[in-house]
Amino acid sequence: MDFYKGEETDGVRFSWNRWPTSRVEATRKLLVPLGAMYTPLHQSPELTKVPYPPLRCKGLCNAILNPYCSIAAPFKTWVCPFCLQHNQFPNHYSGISDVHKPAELYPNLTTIEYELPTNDTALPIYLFVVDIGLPDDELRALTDSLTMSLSLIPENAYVGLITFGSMVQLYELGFTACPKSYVFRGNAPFKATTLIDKLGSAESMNLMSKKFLVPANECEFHLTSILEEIQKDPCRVSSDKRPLRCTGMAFSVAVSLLQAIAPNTGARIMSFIGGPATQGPGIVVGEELKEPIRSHNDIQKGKAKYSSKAYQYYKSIGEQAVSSGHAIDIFSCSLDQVGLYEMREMVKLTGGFMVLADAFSHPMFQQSFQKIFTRDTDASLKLGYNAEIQVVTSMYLKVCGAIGHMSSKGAKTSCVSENEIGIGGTSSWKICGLDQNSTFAFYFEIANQHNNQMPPDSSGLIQFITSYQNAAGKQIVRVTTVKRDWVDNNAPIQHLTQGFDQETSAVLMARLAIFKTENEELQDITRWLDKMLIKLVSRYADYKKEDIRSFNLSENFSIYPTFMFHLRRSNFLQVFNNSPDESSFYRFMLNRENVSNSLVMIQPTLEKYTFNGPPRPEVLSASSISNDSILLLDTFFHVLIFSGETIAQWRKAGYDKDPNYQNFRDLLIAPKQDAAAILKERFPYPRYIECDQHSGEARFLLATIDPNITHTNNIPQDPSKGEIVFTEDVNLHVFLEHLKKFAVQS
Amino acid sequence: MFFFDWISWLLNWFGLANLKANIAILGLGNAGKTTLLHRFSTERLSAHPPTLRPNSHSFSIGNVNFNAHDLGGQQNMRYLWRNYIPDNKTIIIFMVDSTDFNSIGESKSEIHDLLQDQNLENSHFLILGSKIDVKSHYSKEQLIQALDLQPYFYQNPQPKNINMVMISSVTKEGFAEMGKILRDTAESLNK
Repeated sequence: MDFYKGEETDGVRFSWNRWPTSRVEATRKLLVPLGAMYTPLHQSPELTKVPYPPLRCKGLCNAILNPYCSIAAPFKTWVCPFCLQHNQFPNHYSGISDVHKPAELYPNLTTIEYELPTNDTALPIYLFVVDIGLPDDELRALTDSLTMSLSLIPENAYVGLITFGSMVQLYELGFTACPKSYVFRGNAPFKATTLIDKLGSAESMNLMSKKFLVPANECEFHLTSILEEIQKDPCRVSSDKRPLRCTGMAFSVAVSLLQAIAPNTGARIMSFIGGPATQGPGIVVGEELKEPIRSHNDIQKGKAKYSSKAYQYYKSIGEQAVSSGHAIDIFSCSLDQVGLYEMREMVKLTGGFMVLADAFSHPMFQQSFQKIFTRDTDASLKLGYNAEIQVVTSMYLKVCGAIGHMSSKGAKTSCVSENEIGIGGTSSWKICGLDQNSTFAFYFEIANQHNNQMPPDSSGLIQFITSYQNAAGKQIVRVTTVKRDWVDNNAPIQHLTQGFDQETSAVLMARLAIFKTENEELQDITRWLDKMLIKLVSRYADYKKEDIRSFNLSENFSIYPTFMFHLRRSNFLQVFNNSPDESSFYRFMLNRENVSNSLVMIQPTLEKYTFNGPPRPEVLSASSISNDSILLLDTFFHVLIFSGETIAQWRKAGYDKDPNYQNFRDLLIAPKQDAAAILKERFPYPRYIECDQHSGEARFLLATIDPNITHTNNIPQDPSKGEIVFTEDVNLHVFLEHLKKFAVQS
Repeated sequence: MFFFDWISWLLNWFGLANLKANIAILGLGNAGKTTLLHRFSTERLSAHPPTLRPNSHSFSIGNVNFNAHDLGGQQNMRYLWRNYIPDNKTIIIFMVDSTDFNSIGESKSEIHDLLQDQNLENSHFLILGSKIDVKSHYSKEQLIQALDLQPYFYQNPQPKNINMVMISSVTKEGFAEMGKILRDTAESLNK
C-alpha cells in the first residue's frame, strides 16, 4: 500500500489504513491506536482553490459537500455520507450533470480550499514583546533583527511594541512627536486587563484609532528610531543577582491589549526573552544567584519553589489569548534557562512558535526569525491565523481526541467518543497560529457493535474542516475528506496488516508518550511503550511458541521496533544532561511536526560520503563510522558533518587545495551542499556543526548512534572501521533479542 | 510542614541526618564532566553529547547528599560558571582531560583565573585528571607541572583548600579517593 500518496494530496497519514468492523475486533487487533497525522496547511502543487463558500449539510453533522456524497439524476439533491441527510442544492448549483460538476465533487479533489468572498480583509498583527534585561550587545543584535523585520512585514500590517525589564513599557506608536510609553510596575497587584481599560475609552481601543497598534508603513520610521534608542534596563544589577524581569506582567499586558483592541483578528505576540522571570506574577526564580533555577530533579521531587504556580499563571495567559484568537511566540535566546518549562503552555495552547537559541546574535535565532518574514516564496512559511479545525466522522467511527498545539472548543457532537485520548471530549479545536508544518495527531475509535453487520461496500469517512485567516487576511476554509475501507472480521489477517503504516504509527505513539510526560513518570512511559511494542510484535510476528530462532517479523512491521528503540533513548524521554527548558523545547517540536520530520527527530538520519560512488544512507550505528569517510547527521535539531580521522588529516594537510586532488575537494563539498539544503528548509534553524572524529563535538554523533561497538563489546579487528563508544547502554541488537524473547513467551 | 522542618532541623543538630553539599563541575569541553556526573547519579556509564545548558543532578556518598551543577565547557559558556558558585561553600570540581595534551594550556589559564578570583578565595577545589584508562595520559605529577600548580601542592602548609585525583569514569579508578575527599570536604563545610 502506498501511504505517501495520501500524504501528498491530502496531508494526512493513518496508522492503520484498513479498519476492523467492530469495537471488539479493534481492541484486539489495533495494538497501536487508530489515528491520523493531519497537516491542515500541507502545500501540494495540485491544490485546487475555489472563490466561493462551501456548501454545508443542514443535518447535525455540519459536514461539507465532498466527492463521497451521492448525487443522482436529476441532480437536485445530495446525500450527506456522514449523517445520511438529504440536502437540496441551492439555485446557483443548478445545471449539475454527470459531466458537469462543481470542483468539490471531482473524485480526485479530496482536498479543496474555499476562499470566502469577504470584502474587509484584515492583515495579521505583530506585537513585539522585548526583553531589555539583556547585555548590551545582545540587545543591539535583537533590535537590529526587529528593524530588519519591519522592512519585510506587509506594509498594511499592524505592529506594536512592549518592552520589559524591571517594569513593562507599552509604547504609543501613534504618537510620533517623541517616543511615548505607558509604564506598568512589574509587581503591580492589579490585573493587566483593568489597567488596559484605563488607557483609553472603549471607542479609542480599536484598530481604527491607531494608537498602540499602527500599520507598519505609517510607523516604520518612528518605530525604527525607538528601537535604535532602546536602552538596557536602567535598573542596576549587582554581580550576585539576576536582572529583574517581570516577564509574566509583560505577557499579561500584551494579551490584554490585543484582547481589547483586536479580538478574533489574526495576531501574534512575538516575545524575545534572554533570561528568567525574577519578579511579579509568573516568577520562575528569585533574584539572588545563590538560589539556582529549578532542575528536572527539583521538579520531580516537588522542590521547584515557583514552577507550578508560574505554570498555572502562564497557562491562564494562554487561555486568555486563545479566547481572542491570538498566537504567542517565544524566542528564547540564552545559554542558561529562561523558564520555557513554565511558559510552554502559552505557546502550545495558541499554536505559536518556540525557538531555543544560544543568543540573539546566533544564526539559530536570526535565521529562524527571518524565515517567518521572508518573501522568498520557496523558503517562506505559509501562515494561518485564528483557525478552527473541525472533525466529522461517518457512522461507526468516533473521535477520541487530538494531540498537538491546539485547544479544545468543547464541541461535544455525536462524533465524539467517551474514551478520551489527548485533548478530547470535543470535535473542534481552536488553533491561533498555523503554518505549513503544523501537524495534529487525531485519535479515533471504532464504535460498531460486534454482531452488527456493516452494509456491503461501505467505507469509513473522516472529514477535516479547517477555517483560518491567511497571511493576506483572507478567510479560507480547507476541507479534506478521506475514505478508508473496512476489513471483514473473517478476512485473512494480511488484509489488515497491509494497511499498517509503521512510520505514522511510531509518530502517533511518540505523540502519546509526549502527552503522557505532562503527568506521568518517564520510567512508567518507557515501560508502557515496551508493553505496547511486545503486544504488537507478539500478535503480528510469525514464530513457534518459546522458540526465538523461529521469530520473523514481516516487512510492514520490521522497522517499527527500531523506532521504539531510538525513541526510548531520545531526549524526549531521557532528561539526563538536559535542562527542563531544553526538554520542553524538544518535546514541543515533536508535538508539532509532520510524520517525516518527527521520524528524523526520533531516529536521526545518517548519510555517508566516500570516494566510492555517490552518498548513501547509513544505519545509525557505531559500525557506520570509518576513518576514510564523511558522515552527515541530521537530528532535526542539529545538522552535523563528521569527518573521519584520515579525511581530517588530509584536509589539515591542505590536499583539498591541490588541483591534483579535485575528487577530494568534491568529497568535502558534497555534504556541505546537502547540509545547506537542509538548513534552508528547516524551521527553527538547527545547530550546524562541522567536526572531526575523536573531537569533543563528535559526541553529538556518538551519543545518538546505536552503540553496537563499545569498549567491552564487538571491538573491531580493523581500527579504521567503526568507532568505540564508551557506554553501558543497551544496543539495538540486545534490545531486539529481548523483544523476541518476550514476544515468543506471551 | 512546619513539624517536619523542625524534626529535620533537630536531626541536623545532632548530626544524625544526611549532610548536604553543593558542587559545581567545571572544565573545558570534552573533559568528561557529564559522564562523571552520570556515573555518580546512576552508577552507569553512558555516552553524552556536549552539554548545552547548565543542569543539575544529585547523588550521595556515604551520608552526604550532593547536588551537582553540570556546566557546559565550551568557550562561550564559561562566563556562566561563576553564577553557579554563589558562595565559598560550593565545592569546585575542575576536570582536566589528562589525555588531551593540546588543550592543557587552556585548562591552565582557566584554573588560575578561578584560583586567583577574590570571591573564591576560601572555596574548596578538587582538580580531577580524567580518562586515565587511556594509555597515554599525564600522571598526577605531570599534570601538576603542566597546570603550573606546584605552588599549591608542594608547599607546607598548603595555601589553599585544593586536592587532585586522577580518575577514570570507565574503570572507576580513583573513585574511592575522590569520594573520600568529597565527603570529608562536605563534612568540614558543614561544621
